[in-house]
Amino acid sequence: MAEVNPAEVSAILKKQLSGFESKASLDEVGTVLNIGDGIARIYGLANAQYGELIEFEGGLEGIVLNLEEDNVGVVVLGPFSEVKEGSVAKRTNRIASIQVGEGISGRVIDTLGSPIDGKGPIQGETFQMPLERKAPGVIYREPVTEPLQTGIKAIDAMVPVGRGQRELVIGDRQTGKTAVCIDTILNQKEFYDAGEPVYCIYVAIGQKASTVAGIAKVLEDRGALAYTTIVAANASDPAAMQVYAPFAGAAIGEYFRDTGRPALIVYDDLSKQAVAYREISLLLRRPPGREAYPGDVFFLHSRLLERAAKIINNDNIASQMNDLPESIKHLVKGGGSLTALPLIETQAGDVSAYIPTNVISITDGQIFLTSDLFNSGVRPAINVGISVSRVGGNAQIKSMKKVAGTLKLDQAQYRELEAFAKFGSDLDAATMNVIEKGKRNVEILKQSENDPYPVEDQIAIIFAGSKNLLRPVPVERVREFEREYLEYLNMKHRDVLDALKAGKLTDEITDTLTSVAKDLATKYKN
Amino acid sequence: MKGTRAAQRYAKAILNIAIDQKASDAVFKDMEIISKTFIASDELMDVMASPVIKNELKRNSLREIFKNSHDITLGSFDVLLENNRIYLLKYVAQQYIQQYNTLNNIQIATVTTAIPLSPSLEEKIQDKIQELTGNSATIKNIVDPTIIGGFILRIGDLQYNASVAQNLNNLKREFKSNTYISKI
Repeated sequence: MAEVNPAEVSAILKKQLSGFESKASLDEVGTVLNIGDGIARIYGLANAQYGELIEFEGGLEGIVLNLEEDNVGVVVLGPFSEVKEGSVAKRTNRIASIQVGEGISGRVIDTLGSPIDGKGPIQGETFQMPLERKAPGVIYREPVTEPLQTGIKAIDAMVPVGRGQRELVIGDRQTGKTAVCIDTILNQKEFYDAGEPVYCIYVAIGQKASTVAGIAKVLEDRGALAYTTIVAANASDPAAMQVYAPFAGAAIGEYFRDTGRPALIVYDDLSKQAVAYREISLLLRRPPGREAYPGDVFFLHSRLLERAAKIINNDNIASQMNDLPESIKHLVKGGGSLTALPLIETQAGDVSAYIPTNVISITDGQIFLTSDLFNSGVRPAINVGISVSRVGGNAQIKSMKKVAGTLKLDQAQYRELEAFAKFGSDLDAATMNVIEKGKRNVEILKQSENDPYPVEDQIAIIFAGSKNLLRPVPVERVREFEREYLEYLNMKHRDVLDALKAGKLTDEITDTLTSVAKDLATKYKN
Repeated sequence: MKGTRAAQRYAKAILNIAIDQKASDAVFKDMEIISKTFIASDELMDVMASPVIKNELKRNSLREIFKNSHDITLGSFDVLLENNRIYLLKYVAQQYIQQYNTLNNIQIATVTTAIPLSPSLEEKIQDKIQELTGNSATIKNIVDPTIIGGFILRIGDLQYNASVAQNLNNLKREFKSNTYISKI
């Protein structure tokens, strides 16, 4: 470490002190009646508003969550051991909000917007975005038509996600939910390189700090951190921080959405947010409902997820959106979108529990990840039979739609007949066909972690699979075939791939793909 | 504050009767005496709060201690005893004082200073109060050396903090928050 010049130190200190204004402040105050378990009850504060930020002595902040006749219930956002009974708490006249600007991409921040990655304060101009905000009304929205490429073959082919959609990723622990979302974020690099980034926000709720550090490292190593913001409310943070972290993420997403740009937000995971919300509701003495969750846990998730939307592509109409924050009124453009990928962890595959059913009814589809598939080697462990995307084909480019049209049905047929294959009994040719094709398709749909595929590669390989061109290839060697096939196409037929990417699927293209696949398949025949 | 709501109801009732009988000032003085007595004597508080001591005994002792009180005040003792709420008497007195002050627009301002207030300073503070709230107020001075210098003016829910301790705290906070240290 370089030597620090004492003169420099004095100069810096002098600058800090001279910029510091010694001023008296007139505040509305109250007295802390009791403090415990993260809840402070304050006497006074007659004009406090619901959801307002309260400041305690020592700089700690809290949010007003209970307005009662003779006291105000405040949830403390920080180590509440610093607050003393009898101390003074003052209003900040600010409903909980976060400062967002262009400089927030690439940073790791906490729920209140303070950076925790040690790279200094947020650079550039920032705007105040409220944590709680009404979702855009019907008039300001547009149907979802653009695809959000996740880079995962199984998803982009059979349960496609569009920009502005909410797609739930649900499964037991250790089934690869986070991996699916990280791969989606990594896949947005091609758009970032092309100059039209999809701004990603990863909200880590109640996770280990080491996990968050690991994710930050993966994103940084792959060059994805430049367009990603991580909002972290770790397991050791107070419950209130964990409840409001997704809202902070949504506020950041709305900044990009309302300024005409696409954004993607991953909530990892909402089950932990519901648990934290249950904790503070019970401490605030609100009556418990089913599974001890408070009565408004549905509203907690619905108002969060409704903020993910596709905004109409018209600046005039978009600028009149309801509840637009004052700070960004001059920057509003139409055509932006916020796609949400909430994660829910089920216990032992029970999707009929309270929180999973709630969130399933709110989102526009779900991606189910099952432990059985994961353990039998099918990774990503997506159970296509019960996964749904309510946007479906509208969120696919034409070429992908044509090619993957029959894939879901083929796989469904395969699953029906899969049991017979295990018996190895004599089957007729048609059944054998279905089974063999299905097996090879399953191999094609497998994918390594952190290895997203560009859409043209996906179309090419799925085309080969659905036309049964892989029949000669033994099942164990399908992945090898896939690699070789795509490498060859990328080297010798780049133009074909570019045409696929643009959405074209002419006979010429299909002929080229068919011939390449056939030639390569004969090599693997034994 | 435990029992504040009940105390508020009783105080409001007493205040209303006192106003009807044009004796609110007299009752106010009684309530001030009651409040001070309770604060000074823990014993009295304990006796009133104790469930094993008979109501008769409590009644007689109260009448003896506060023998120069107005009839309304004595009547209020009886009502509280009847409803088994005599332990609230201290809070009822405090609430009465607060409600009386609100009614007559009397504000009590608490000024915390490091050294006792001088008359010239008091005048300046009165001006400040006038500027902030538009009414005058009676000033109660608390001497607290920990604020080091300046003063803290508190009127009801408003606080004007011009103390040196506050400024030093703000400075400390600015130096403490360091975004160049990684927390993950």
